[in-house]
Amino acid sequence: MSTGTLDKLPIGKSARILDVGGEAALQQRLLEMGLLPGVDVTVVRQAPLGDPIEVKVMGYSLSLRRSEAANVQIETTA
Amino acid sequence: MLEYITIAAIILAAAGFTGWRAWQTLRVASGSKACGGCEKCD
Amino acid sequence: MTEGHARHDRHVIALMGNPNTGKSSLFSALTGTRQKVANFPGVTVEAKIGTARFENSEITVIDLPGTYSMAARSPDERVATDALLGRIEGTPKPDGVIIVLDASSLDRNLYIGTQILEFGLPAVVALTMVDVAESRGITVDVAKLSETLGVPVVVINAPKGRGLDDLKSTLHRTLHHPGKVLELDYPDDFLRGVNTLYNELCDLGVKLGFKPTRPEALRLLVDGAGPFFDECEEVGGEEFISKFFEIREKAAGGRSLSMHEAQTRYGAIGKWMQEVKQTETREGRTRTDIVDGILTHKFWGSLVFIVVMGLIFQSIYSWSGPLMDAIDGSFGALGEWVGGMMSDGALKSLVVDGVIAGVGGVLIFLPQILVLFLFIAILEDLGYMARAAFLMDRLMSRFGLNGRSFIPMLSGFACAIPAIMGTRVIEDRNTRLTTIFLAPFMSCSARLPVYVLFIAAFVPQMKVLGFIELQGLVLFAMYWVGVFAAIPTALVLKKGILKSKATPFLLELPSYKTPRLKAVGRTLWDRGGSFIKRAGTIILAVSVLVWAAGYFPHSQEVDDKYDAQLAEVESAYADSILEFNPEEDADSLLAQYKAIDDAHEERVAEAEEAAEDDDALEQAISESKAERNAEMAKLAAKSADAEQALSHYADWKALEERRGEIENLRGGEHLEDSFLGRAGHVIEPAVEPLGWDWRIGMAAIASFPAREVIVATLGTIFNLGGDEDEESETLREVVKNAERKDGSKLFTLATALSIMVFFALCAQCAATLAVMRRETNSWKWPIASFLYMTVLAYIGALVTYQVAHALGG
Ligand SMILES: Nc1nc2c(ncn2[C@@H]2O[C@H](COP(=O)(O)OP(=O)(O)O)[C@@H](O)[C@H]2O)c(=O)[nH]1
Ligand SMILES: [Mg+2]
Repeated sequence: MSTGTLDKLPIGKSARILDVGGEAALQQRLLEMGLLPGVDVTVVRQAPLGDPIEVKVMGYSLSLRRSEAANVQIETTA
Repeated sequence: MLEYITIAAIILAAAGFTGWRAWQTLRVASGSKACGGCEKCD
Repeated sequence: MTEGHARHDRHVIALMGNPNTGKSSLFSALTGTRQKVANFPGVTVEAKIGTARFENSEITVIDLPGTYSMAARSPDERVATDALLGRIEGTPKPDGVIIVLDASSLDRNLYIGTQILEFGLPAVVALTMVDVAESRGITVDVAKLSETLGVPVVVINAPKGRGLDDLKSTLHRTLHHPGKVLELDYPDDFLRGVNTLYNELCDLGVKLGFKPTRPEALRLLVDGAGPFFDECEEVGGEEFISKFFEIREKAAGGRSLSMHEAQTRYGAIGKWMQEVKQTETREGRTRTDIVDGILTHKFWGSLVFIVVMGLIFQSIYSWSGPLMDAIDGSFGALGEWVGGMMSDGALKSLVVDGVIAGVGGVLIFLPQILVLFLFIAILEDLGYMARAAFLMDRLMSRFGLNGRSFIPMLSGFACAIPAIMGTRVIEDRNTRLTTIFLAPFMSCSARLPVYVLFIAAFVPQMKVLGFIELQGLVLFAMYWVGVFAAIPTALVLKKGILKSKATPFLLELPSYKTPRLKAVGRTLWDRGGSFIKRAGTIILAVSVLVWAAGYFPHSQEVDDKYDAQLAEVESAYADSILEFNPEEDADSLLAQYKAIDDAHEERVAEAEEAAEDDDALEQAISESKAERNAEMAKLAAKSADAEQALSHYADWKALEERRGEIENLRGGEHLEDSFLGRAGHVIEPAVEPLGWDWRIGMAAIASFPAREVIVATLGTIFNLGGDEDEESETLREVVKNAERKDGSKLFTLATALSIMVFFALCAQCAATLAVMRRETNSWKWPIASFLYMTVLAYIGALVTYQVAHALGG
């Protein structure tokens, strides 16, 4: 078990969200889009220029910048 | 004579229509018309 | 509440839900009104109103922009919230709401679902995309969902027309017997905060001018900002604000309020889903995953992008060419036919030079417009737009912009107006303003006719690398002119006056959908229809006005002068010509001469079309000439009269030529002497450095209200100035043959390029400026845009002409 932030999660790996921070408006947006504690998230791919990334959360595809993903604390099992 | 009356009428109509369109465009600018001034978008 | 037996019920229903869930499709299906539907978030940015009928009742339906939450941050989200509360002027307050939920991502869809349900309006859930969900192994227990939410749930598929009747009758029932109001288990402190704030707001109520509701209190508490907050601050003053923050702090209990809200909602949703939803994990990747693997791939994605773009520009030429020629030909024939029917005079000139040459000149570009929109419609329906934003975000953020800005910019290639309206999804004001300012730089479909005309006339038809059409390549390059101008503009704006911190990107990537024939066809029909309508209205009107300015005063003096010249020339040849009339005496020897000569001309025309270069053309012409001379000599040798006939024929030809020259001079002098000509000479010095003469200058000025007018005005101006008896030419030929006073060709490649660059960069669209004013609420932006783009266009055209001219173009 190891903890980190979503922007560092390698492509193809899944993790569980521990906490979501960030500036108020961004945090609210992240939460509304389904990135909240207890939810599983998988990194699917990154854009050709390395940013943004695409993640699968709550069964849909969401793209966000690495800087935004850095506000999402995660833990990986195994 | 009739020819010139017809032509004058056509030119007046064209000028009137252009003026009306200019007026509509101003209405778009002032916000009293939601979209328009361009039939290209709906 | 009455029992619903009233004869003519009138109800107002709002459609709400996440973006891209099928609201607009449902709206169209219910009301029969067409509403733009496409597969990417942010298509609908304003409330649209339509009417649906059910039995005896009439239902007013409002299609709202899709949002993920009731917290309103961007202008399109505010529209949704305000409309639900009946606070938009001109939009009635809804009596009920259809909550549109996408079954394939039900959890996230229910987030705003719970927010709407808390408002307590009679509600029906329309469950869409059940087919998509099933293909992913997700099944939804509709009855359970309905029971849990406490409102009816109806499965629909609006594009296929399924479930609509059921939805209507359920809606009818619900409006008269609304369900229960949803209540969620908020933490105690949070709930207490909402209630305290609600009481405070009720005290403020009189001053606010409306009765606040509990869900509004919740929103105000959590969001702590926004237009409603500003209003309360204004009305309640310092006192209210300090109380507000005190309540907020207590309610938060050390955490963030949005975390409380999200955890309560998603907590409840998670619990419900365990009973309502069953997910059967499917092995293998979904279709969207596979397609995305290619389309967003580092290498393949870029390759596909380039190939698709190339294909679009190639097909604009190769597919629409034949159709365009057909339309062009029929307008030519129409002009000739009408010209033949009418007697010479001002009215004939109005019809032939003004209307047919003007409007016809624009209409021939219909095929190109359709091909362009065919591709745009397919990409939109497929779901590629959101991917384009994903691919471009990094690049756009270098210029201080956002990948989200890319979608409106892409739609700018169709028309700048929807592009500017589409910026409403951008929440940061400065980013939005920058995007609005950049949108008109994208080459909209109205520029296409200008490009096509000049490229077809001046860029040789040849292949590069064996398979790429040069003309298509140049067209592609024209589209980049605007983009290249936009980049430094963006940098200056974002690093200078419109600085702002990075805005969140967070964009849903919808699953790909097979483009539907019907939707694509509808787009083509609409766009084609409005293009024709434009040609028949505003372009027609401007053509008539330009004609009038170019025809009058049409002084008698000029006519007298040329009539005298004509009489002189005719009398010189009179004797000889009397004996020669090829039109009437078709079998005569002379007619045979004419036939031989005509055949020669035809061969030359063919050679001009087919020839690969000038040398080949010259050779073809001299060969044809030799053939003609040989045939004529053979004819002359046949009989004694032949010599004489040949000389009559030569005289006749010379006269025809002189007549043509005189008529040309007459037309030219009338035009120079006209109001348009006089104004043109005033502006000529300004456009000379661009390689233009006054006629092009005036045509460009006439196109400031709408840029495609140039094609019409060029047609009118050159037709007016030309020989009125000559066989009608296509606009391409007119442009090719136009001459300067000294007899040199008016349009060279350098002139054509300079015109195209000017049109690529210039702000020639009154409607765009008007929409800019409305969207920014200030004249500052449209004026700045107009000045900046016009100056840039002038400089761009100047540099292009001078460079191309120096290089010998
Ligand atoms: N497969 C499927 N596609 C749908 C359904 N409803 C709508 N769509 C498609 O989903 C896309 C988005 O629809 P639209 O009406 O624009 O959604 P809006 O953004 O909520 O207004 C379009 O491509 C529609 O054709 C449905 O029930 N099933
Ligand atoms: Mg919509």
